Amino acid sequence: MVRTFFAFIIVGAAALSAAGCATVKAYEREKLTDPIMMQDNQFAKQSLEQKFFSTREGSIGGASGIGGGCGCAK
Amino acid sequence: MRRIAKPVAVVLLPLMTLWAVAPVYAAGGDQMGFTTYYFSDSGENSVVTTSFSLAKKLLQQTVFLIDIELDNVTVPPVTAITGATRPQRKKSEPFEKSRGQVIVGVEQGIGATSTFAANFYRSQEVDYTSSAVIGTFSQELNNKNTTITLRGQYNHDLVGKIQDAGDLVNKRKKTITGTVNINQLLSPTTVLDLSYDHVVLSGFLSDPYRQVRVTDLSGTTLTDELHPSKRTRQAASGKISQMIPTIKASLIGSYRYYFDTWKVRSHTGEIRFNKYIINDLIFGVDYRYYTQNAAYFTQKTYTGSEYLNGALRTADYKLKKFSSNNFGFSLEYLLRGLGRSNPDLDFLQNSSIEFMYFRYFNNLEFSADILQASLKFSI
Amino acid sequence: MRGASTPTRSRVEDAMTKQSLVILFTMCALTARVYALGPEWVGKPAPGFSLRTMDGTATLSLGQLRGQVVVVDFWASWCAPCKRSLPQLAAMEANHPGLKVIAINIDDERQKAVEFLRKNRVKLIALYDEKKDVVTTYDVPVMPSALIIDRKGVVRYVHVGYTDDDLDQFKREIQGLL
Repeated sequence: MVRTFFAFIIVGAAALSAAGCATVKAYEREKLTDPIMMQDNQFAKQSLEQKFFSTREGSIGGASGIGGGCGCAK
Repeated sequence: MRRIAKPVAVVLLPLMTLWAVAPVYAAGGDQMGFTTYYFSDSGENSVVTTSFSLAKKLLQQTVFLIDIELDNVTVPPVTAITGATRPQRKKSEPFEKSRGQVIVGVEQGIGATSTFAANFYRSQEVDYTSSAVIGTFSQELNNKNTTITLRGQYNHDLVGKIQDAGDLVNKRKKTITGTVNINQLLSPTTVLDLSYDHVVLSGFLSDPYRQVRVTDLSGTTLTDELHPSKRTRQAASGKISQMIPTIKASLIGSYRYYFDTWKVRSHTGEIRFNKYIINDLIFGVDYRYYTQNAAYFTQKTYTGSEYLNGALRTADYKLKKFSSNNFGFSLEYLLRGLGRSNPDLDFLQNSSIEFMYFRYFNNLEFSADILQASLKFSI
Repeated sequence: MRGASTPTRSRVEDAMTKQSLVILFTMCALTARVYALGPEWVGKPAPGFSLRTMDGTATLSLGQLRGQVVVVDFWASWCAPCKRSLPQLAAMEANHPGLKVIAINIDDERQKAVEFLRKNRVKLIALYDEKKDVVTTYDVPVMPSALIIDRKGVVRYVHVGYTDDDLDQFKREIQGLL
């Protein structure tokens, strides 16, 4: 239990470190806003899929969070 | 026919209302969505789900959210496992049941890079009530290259059992969930998503209808299943989304590792490929593999009088060792194409209609066909 | 009598959890840059550029507009706030003689930008930064971003992002320069 939490912290910290090296400018994000990249980020679709699997399998978790994509402000 | 007519009717009425109301209602940044979902499995159980969601901008950085979902479950006259609810007891006639769910909340922007959301969730069916409060905080870093999201949720459930006499007996269940998510842009065409979930459950964690066959010296007896009263569940997952501009496609791969204090461990791998067939039509294909081991108290047979008393026992197939495969196909049409030829239809710029089918089967002789139709309407 | 007791597993877990959280937030702090309030051009001469119009029939350079107050606005068809900002900027240009608004588009496909302008009925000078050289030079942090340049070609104000509340400030700044 504890090991997995720390593994996540380490991987997350590595990802954040990578963030210091890789910066995608706001004007380079057009492809990230394409609907084809956001196929499973729609709330209704994702929650239905999550509910289907969680009622048939002994596991939970792994849903996507917010973020990524448009470098738009306001 | 009735099974198909119902979702069609449920969708058509809101659609007709929407066409009449939407142009008047239109305001920048609002989003509405409708989804209808039909499920049937190898046990002839069926579930029809219709959901409606609305995100309405109240102030510059304040959005009101509401999501309503209605389920209708039909179970044939044998002991079976449904999709949207828990297993039903044996009945000589088909059993039909409805569930309603609502989520309301507010999302508030804080400055240019932070968002806080508070939601209230309520689900109600004749023998199960769930209430939850959810708080979410997200912070953008590195000029929006990184987004960290923290989410906390507290659920209070009443797990009921309709007795033979018709009265309802409730037991309580409490769930506390914490989630951390990191979303990181790796390149103009690649996004990495990492998640960690930690869930602590306590209270009545069995199913009040499910029964276990116990054999002892006096013969075989059916008795209620008995699960531990506490469970801690954890899951860590990662996902990479890669755009392939040369062929106008994307590839999304994900993996999840799950484990809990009941000694259930699982691996989930999924890969999804999406491609534009023509300008506004996206075809998607998906494959998911899942495998898990059994809970420590799962047995094929329960022999001994201790299982008629306080010894743990389960009839939940979800706590057995099994693996499953899931194949899916989808077609999504982006309605922005209609606005190109007719400026009056420009309000459909961010809307789409999608049809999805997937086939699920596991090595416990359970299979399911799921059809889903959804309309996402965004103004 | 027992000596100092070995820390219990829960205490070890607590300590490790706290350490991990410290590591996580430290990494955030190290990698997180201060969110740029805008390109650091205020008070500096605006970098020159020469771009073709959206229809490709003409070329316009920033130098040709010396002597006028110029708003250079970077926008994209996939940028939701741009749908509000561009019509507002067009209206401002119409109401302020001596003001010129240049809308520089950075879409990968020109046609999407052309459709956007048509559907939103935007009547502005729109230039196409096909190779994204100009937007890279100005290094805007978010979309849309606008720079207000005075008659001598010096950047006086920078607007990062757009809300309807920004409109009044835009007007005050422009009127002060005209």
